[in-house]
This record gives sequence, C-alpha cells and structure tokens, in this order.
Amino acid sequence: MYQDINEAVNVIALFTKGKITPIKFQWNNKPVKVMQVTGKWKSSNGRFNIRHFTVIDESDNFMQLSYDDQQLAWTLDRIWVDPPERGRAKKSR
Amino acid sequence: MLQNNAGANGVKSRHFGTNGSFGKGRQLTHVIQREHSDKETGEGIEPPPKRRLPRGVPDKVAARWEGYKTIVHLDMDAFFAAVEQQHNPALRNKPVIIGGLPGYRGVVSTCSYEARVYGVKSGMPSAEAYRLCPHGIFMQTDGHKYTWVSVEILSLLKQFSPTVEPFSIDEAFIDISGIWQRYGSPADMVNSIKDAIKGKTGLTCSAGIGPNKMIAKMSSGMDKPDGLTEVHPERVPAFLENLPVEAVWGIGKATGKALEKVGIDTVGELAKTDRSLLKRLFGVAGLALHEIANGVGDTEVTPFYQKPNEKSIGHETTLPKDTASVEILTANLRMLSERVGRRMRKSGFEARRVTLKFRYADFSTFTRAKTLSGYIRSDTAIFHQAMRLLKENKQRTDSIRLVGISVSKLRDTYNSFQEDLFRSSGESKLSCICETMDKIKDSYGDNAITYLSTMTRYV
Repeated sequence: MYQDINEAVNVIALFTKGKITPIKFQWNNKPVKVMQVTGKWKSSNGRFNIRHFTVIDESDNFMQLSYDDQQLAWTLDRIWVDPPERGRAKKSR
Repeated sequence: MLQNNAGANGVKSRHFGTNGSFGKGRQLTHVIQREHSDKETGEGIEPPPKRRLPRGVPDKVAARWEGYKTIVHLDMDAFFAAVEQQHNPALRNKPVIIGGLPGYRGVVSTCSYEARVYGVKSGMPSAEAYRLCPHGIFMQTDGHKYTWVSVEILSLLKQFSPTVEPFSIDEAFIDISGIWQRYGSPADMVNSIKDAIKGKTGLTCSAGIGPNKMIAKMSSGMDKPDGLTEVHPERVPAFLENLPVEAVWGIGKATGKALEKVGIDTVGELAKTDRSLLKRLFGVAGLALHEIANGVGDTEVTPFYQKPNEKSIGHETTLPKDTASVEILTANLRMLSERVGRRMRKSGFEARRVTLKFRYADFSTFTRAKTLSGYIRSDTAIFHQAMRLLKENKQRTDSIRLVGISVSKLRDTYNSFQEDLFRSSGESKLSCICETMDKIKDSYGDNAITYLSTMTRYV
C-alpha cells in the first residue's frame, strides 16, 4: 500500500533538453540513488506545473517524487510499503 | 476451410470466416477461418509465423482491403490499472482495483486482469469488489497520470496516421486507408502500432480492424487482452450473424431485452427483421439498429485537430451519503454548474438547454430538462435553471444519492458575432464575472476561486 510522505527533499537531477531526470536524493539523512524512473507525468495548477516521477532505488523500493515548477522545489510524495500477507501463520514463541 | 478455437491458441492476427459463429470475448466459441493457412490449427499447435513481407508489397489477403475504408479501433487493456502496474513493479501480476476505496461509496473504474479472475468488473460497487477480492490492491484514480499517458499514446498514433480520433481516455479510432500498404497489410501496420505503444509505455492494447467504426470497435473487444481482430468488409455479415444483439455497440440491456421479447436474439436475426417492425418498436432508433445489424456504420474518423462535435457538456456526482438536505443539494448543484459552465466556456460554447439528473437512494433516476428562450453562458444561469428543475420535479422527500447537470443545444460563441438582442443585462454581467473567474483559475488553478455556497456540499 502507498504511504503518504509529503516531505521536501533535496534532489540531484539532470535537466536536459526540456527533460528532468532525478538521479539522487536525500531522505531521512540518507542518500537514495535512483536506479530507474518508471513513470513521468505532469499535472497543472493554473499556469504552473507539477512534474511527477515514479522511481525505484537500489533496494527496489518504489517512491514517488514531484517537482514544483513555481516553487522550484522537490517533494517526496509517497512510498510503497508491501502490505502484510494475509493468512500467514503467526510466529510461535 | 479450416476452423480453430480462437481463445486457445493465442493467435493475435486473424480474419473472420464466412461460416463462423462468434461471441463476445472468450466466453463463446470463436470459429475462425485462417485465410493464410490450409492446415487445421488445434489446441497445442503453434500458430504459423507472422507474415512478414517487404514494405510496400501487399500480400493477397491484404490486397483485398484495396478500395475499402480501413478503420482501426484501439482499446488499451485495463488502462488505469495497467498504468499503475507499469509505474510500480510491486503491483505487477497482482489484483489492482482502481476507483472507489472499500469502506467508502464508489465504484470500480477499472481493474487488472488478475482482479477480473475473482469476478471484479468495471462499474461494480467497490464494496462488492472488496467482498469478491479482499486481498485486492484498491487505489484511487489519478486523472493527471492517465491523461498524460493517454496523450503520449496519442502522439505516437499521430506518427502512423494523421487521421486519429481520440474516442475516450483509453480508446482511439485510426483511419489507415491508403497508409497500410507501406507495412504490407492492415494487420502488420496495427501490429507495428501495438509494438510501438508497448515499446514506449510498456502497455498493451487490443485492436480491431474493420470497414467502419462500428465493426472496428466491436472487433477490438473480441480478443482481449493484447489481441488483434480483423474483419474484412466481405466478412462483415458472417461476423455479425451469430453475435448476441447486446454485443452490438449501442445496444444496452434494455434494448436487448426489448428485442428478446420479439424473438430477436442475434444480430443476424435483427438484420433480417422487417424495418417497419423495428420502426414501430423503437422509432427512428429502430431503423438505425437495422443498419447496424447489416454492417452499415460511420466511416468518418474525425481527426484530432478538428474541434469535436460536442452535443452536450455535463457533470454528475455521487454524494458521499444519501441526503434530503436542500442546503447540501444546493451546494452540489452550485459546484456542478460551476464545472459545467467552465468547461462550456473553455470549449467556446453557450447553451440553450439545461438538464438535471437526480437519483434517489432506491436508485430510481429522473432526468428533467428545460429549453430556454435564449442562450446562457454563466454558471449562475445554469445553477438557477437546475434549481428550478429540482424544485418543480422533486416530488418525493426521499434522500438523493446522485445529482448531475448537463447543458445542450450548444452554439459556438466564437462564431456568433452578433450579441443576443434579448440577452438580459444580468446574464451579461454574470458571464463577465465567470470569465474573470476563469482567468483566475487559468493562472492559479481550479481551486483558487469558487462560490462560497459550494463549501457546504459535504454531508
């Protein structure tokens, strides 16, 4: 399930030919290296755009970042947390 | 002449046989004539390799499309769910259900094929979906994301043909008449399009090729997901012959039942039915049904760059809880009229007819409309007409579940240079206010400004 984070993060990104690609960012005082950008899209809020990125880090964690064109700021929107498996037997003491 | 079971062998490109009997999807037996093969292809036998001819060399089968309109309908497979699965690998091969969350009121917008195994379907209440598939991953829709991917796909389609008509967020018609020859055959061209979409977005789609939009649309639903069904113009009667009438695009459950009552179960039977009988039963729509049953359909694909011929603009909302509160209903109608008005003005229209839809808690639904003497453009004028319709027609004090507003009898404001002589000065002022609000929303977003009365719309 998705867990909303909505925290401002510092991101190293590549801005080239009108495209933005996040490379690395810092979250919880730890560097997170982006291994793959799995999706990109844009939403608009009036004349300003927010660019969204879904990324996978070195540990195969899925995260969603966004870049606000107006504020020139990055946000870690949410992360994917695997739901606990149903029906799994409880650990015996 | 050979036949095979379409669902079993995974053949993607196919031509329908003259003596075939067809059903929707894989539930009914497909009987297919493989025109390029004389061997019977039963289960377990690999389909023959895909025909690959040098570009610009149409083969014999393809050549039979020469001189006919060649329309393609593309339908993305479980689009919203597939986009989510593509973006988040953790969701792949899992039952993903997009729409209302369980515990809240809402319906399933779409679901992945893994969820469909459990009986989950589009349009089903989320609570029922949860009952069928409690371990499903329920997610809310993300319109911006899906629209973005849809636009990406559309831009790709434009590279193949200039005549692309987006039909919805996940469907499009493409006219490939006179273009497919570069690829060898219509099927080869569509396979190239499918490959390009998969390469760019990772998503699959199902396609139908036919001589008109109706046949193309119906055939794209025959082999899902990731299928391709080709219905040659000469094979249209055989394609339609044994289809149940409800498989026809435009025939719903009510019409299907009405046809069943007079003993018409298949499209073939509908095609042979006397036109006067159909006219007596369904009016002008009966004649249209007869034409559809005989394979006659619209062949004009409206290119994306042409302004769509909008006939009405509407919005509706299901309330979080059933309510009879006038204040809440008023607030929701205000919000809906604001949305409808903004869309109408953005499209450059003004309207002369306002329609109100309301659904009681027992699902009985009423639609009431009023045609006005003059054209209106402001949110407030739409709202006042909707309120009047509600007051005049809401006979029961029961709670309401859903409200909707639409406007029709549209006129292009850009082309109507002459100001309406009888437009009230009040309406002109209200229109100016709305246009100012539109400019603020254009700059700062749709939530930047609204009517105070919309604030009380929540139960």
